[in-house]
Amino acid sequence: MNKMWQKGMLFAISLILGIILMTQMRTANNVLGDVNTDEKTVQLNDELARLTLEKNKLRDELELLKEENRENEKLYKDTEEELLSIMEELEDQKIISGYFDVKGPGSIITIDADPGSHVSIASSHQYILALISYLNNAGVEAISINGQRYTNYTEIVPVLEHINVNGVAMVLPLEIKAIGNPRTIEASLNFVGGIVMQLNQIGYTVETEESKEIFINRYDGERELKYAVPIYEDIFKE
Amino acid sequence: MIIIKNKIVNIIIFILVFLSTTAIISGADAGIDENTIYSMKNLHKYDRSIREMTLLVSNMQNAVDEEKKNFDNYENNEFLNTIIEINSQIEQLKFHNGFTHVRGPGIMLSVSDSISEDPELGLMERIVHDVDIVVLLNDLKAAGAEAIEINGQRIINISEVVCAGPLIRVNGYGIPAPFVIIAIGDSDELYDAVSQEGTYAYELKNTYGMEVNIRKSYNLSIRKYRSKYQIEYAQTINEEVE
Repeated sequence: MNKMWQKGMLFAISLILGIILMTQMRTANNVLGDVNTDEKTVQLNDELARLTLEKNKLRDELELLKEENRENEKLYKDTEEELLSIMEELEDQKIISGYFDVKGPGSIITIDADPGSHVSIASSHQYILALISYLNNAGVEAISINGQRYTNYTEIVPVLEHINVNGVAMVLPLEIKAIGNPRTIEASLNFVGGIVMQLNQIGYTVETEESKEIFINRYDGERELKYAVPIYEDIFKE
Repeated sequence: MIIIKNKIVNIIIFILVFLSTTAIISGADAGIDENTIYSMKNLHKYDRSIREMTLLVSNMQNAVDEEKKNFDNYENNEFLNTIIEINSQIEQLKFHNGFTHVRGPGIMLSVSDSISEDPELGLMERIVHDVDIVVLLNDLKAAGAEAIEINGQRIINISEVVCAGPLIRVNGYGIPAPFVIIAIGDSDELYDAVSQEGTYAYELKNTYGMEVNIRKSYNLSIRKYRSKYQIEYAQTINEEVE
């Protein structure tokens, strides 16, 4: 019994001693501070400072790049607009040149001899020329005569009983295609004393048919200018 | 012997209990004190800040790279070359289509209303009509004229030559007689086309008594087409050039 009590006491004393010793150590430790935690803090602080510096540097660079790109974008937009406008001009010049197939709304005018009359298209070629002139008056954008595109250099020459257009012989009936406003074309040709009436008087029938879409072939030949040279300075003071 | 043995056991138990107690208390106490909590909270904060900052820096780096790429795109764009190329095509077509001033050899032809006193000629026959001009221009084209103008108006394939009362309307402008036509090309061929017997100009002069004067020249200048034109109905089908 005595021995049991002794053992119990010993146990209690060692328990208390352990607690006291540990508390002592802890307190000492707390007063001195944790060296590891401080070191870590300093390290992290440095890292953060470095990152902040880097961030600021990048921000400045970004600002500069953005500014430059804003200027570039403006330039780009201006150039793009310029490009669009000259593309439009190119398209217009292509259409006028006659070297490209074109399509659009317009009218198809068919000229044939009146069954009862004996007419020669060769001796009436000036009426075809006048008809084209009146089509141009109506603002048409492309003309072909029996598939031959009317270009800047197209001539209509009477030869024997037929006419040559772009050097290609053709006889009646003539099919003249014109791309433009069908109403204006009609009005420009069909007025009292107009070209259609004149053609009717000398024995031709003229039929005009409107179409939503007409295809006109390009001119197949080539034309090299030998005599004319371009002048780029404005010698004609307007 | 037993007593000694008993004491040793006691001492061992004492040491064991002492050690386990210190271990338990040390373990239970870990990180509980104020300072440690503060430090750890601080560290945690730093850690989070660093992680956020790293993310920010990497995002910014991406943004910078993106902008740099854009910058290179702008620098390398082919617009300028395309514009130069298109402009040269336009110039070529314009020269061909009559939208450029030109000079060269050719003839100058003037036509004005008849001054004939022949009583058999009707009034209408004495006047230069639009059709007369149209035919003359066509004759010149057939003789290889490369550029033609009438009273300063360039004749191109979209030019109209129509009657406008006492005037003739060309390219939207009314022009009066006398009509002065300039054509550039082979001057001999052009001259022949409006002077030889049987030509339309010959008839105008000799049958209808109109005043027709022709002069060859080595150096004539012709204005470009200057009227407004609008292409709104036609469009090219094939985009390819040649």
